[in-house]
Amino acid sequence: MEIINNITRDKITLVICDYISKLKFDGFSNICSFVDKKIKNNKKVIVNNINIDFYELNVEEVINNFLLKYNLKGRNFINKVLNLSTLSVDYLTKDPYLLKDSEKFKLLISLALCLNPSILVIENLSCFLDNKSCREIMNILKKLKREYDKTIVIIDNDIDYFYTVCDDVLVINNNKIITCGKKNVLYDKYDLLKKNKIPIPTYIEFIKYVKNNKHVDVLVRDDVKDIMKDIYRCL
Amino acid sequence: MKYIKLDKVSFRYEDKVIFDEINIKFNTGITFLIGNNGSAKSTLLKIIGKKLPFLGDIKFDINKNVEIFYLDTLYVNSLTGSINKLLNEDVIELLDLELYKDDDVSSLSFPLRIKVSLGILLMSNSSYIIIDNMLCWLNKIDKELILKQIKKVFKNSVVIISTNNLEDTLNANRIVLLKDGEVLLEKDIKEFYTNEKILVDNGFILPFIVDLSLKLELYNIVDKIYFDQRKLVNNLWK
Repeated sequence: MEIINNITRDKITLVICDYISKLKFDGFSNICSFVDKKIKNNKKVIVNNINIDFYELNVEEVINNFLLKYNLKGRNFINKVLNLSTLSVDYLTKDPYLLKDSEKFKLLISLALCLNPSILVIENLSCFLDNKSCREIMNILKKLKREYDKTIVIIDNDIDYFYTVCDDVLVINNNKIITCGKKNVLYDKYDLLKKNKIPIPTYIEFIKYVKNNKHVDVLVRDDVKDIMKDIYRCL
Repeated sequence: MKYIKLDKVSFRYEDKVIFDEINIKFNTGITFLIGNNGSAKSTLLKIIGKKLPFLGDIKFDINKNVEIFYLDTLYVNSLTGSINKLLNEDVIELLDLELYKDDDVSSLSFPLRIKVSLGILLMSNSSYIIIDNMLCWLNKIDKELILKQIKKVFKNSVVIISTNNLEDTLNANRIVLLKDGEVLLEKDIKEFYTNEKILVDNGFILPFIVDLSLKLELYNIVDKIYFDQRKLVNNLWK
C-alpha cells in the first residue's frame, strides 16, 4: 500500500482507517519516540503518544539530548522550533515531567520539527488532549502547512472535528485505499463507505440524510453556520 | 433506585488540594463526566473506585460492600486468554470480533483490547460501572454501537463514563462538568446543553446536532435542542 502517493503535499489530510490498517500504517511505531523514514525523499516524522517518561531535568536538556541523537545543533535552531510550537523560551528551564499534556505535545512537535520533516504525522491527538488543546495544536499545524509547506497527516477517531479542519481525506480499509482526495469525496462516495462500514463524519451523515429522506439539497459544508444558512434557504 | 453518592469528599495530592468537600450523586442510568485535561476526572473516578484514599463519605444504595466494574487502561492491559473463552458468540458477533476469536487478547491492538473489555462488561450483570477515558480509542461506529448496548443492557445500573468529547454524551441521561476539581455543571442532558456559553467558554466543541439546533433555535426555526438528527430533520421538513 503506497499511501504517500495519495497524500497531497502542503495539505492537511485526515486518514480514516480501520484498526488493522492503522496497525500497518506505520507499525504503530512504539511509541515514545519518533520514527523518521525516508519515503521517496520525503522525511516523515510521527508524533503519536505523549505518555513519555522524560528523565531529563529540564526541557533544554530534553531538546539537547534529542539533537545529539540526531547529530543536530544550534541554539538559534532550538529557539526557532520552540517559537513555531508556540512554546516560549521560558520553557527551556521547566521540568518536562510537570508540563501539561498540551505543552508536552507542543514539545514533541518542536522535537519533530528539529528534524525538518516534510511530512508530519499526528496520531490519536484527541485521545490525549481536550478540545481546547486540540484546537491549539491544530492552529500550529495549520501555520506549519501555510508558512513552512509542511504536509500534515492526521490519524484520529474524532473524525467530526478533524473533518472540519482538514483539506483532504484518505480512507483505508483492510489495507486497501477505498477513496482519497478533497474531503467532499466522503459525500460522493457515501454509499461505498457505508457498504464498507467506514465511519463517516456527522456533517456528511446529516446532509446525506436530508437529501435521501426529504429530497432537499443542502450543500456539503464543514461549518455548522453554513449548514444552518442552507437549511434556512431550503425551508 | 441505585446510586453512588459522594458526600463532602476531599482529596489532596502532596500539598495541592484536588477536591475540597465536593458532593455529587450519580443515579441509575448513564452519567458522562466531562472536563478538560487536568480537571481531575480520572482522580474522581479512582476515588469512587476506592483506588485512592480520600476524606469524606461515598454512599451506595445498599449497605454491603459493592463491586464496581472499573474499566481503565490497567484493566484493558491486564486481559489475557483467547477471545472465544472471554466472550460468548453473540457478543463476538455484535462487536464484529469474529476475525480474532481464536487470538489471545494480549496480542491485539489497544483499541481491539478495549472492544474485548467492553464485551466482557456487556456480559456482566454489574450494577456499578466506571469507564475511564476509553471511548476515544474506538471509531465512531463502534462507539455508537457500544454506547447503545450499554444503555440497553445497564438501564438499571449506575454507569459513569469520562470523556473529552461531547459528541459521546448524546446517549447520556446526565452530564457532570468538572473544572479544576469543582463541579461546574451537573444536569440532565436537555438542561445541560442550555448552558452553551459555559461549554464554549471552556473550550468545548458542541456535538454537531446540538450546535445546529441551538443555531436554528436562535433564528426561531426550531423551538428546542435536538439530540437525534432524524427528529430534527423531520421537524424541519414535515
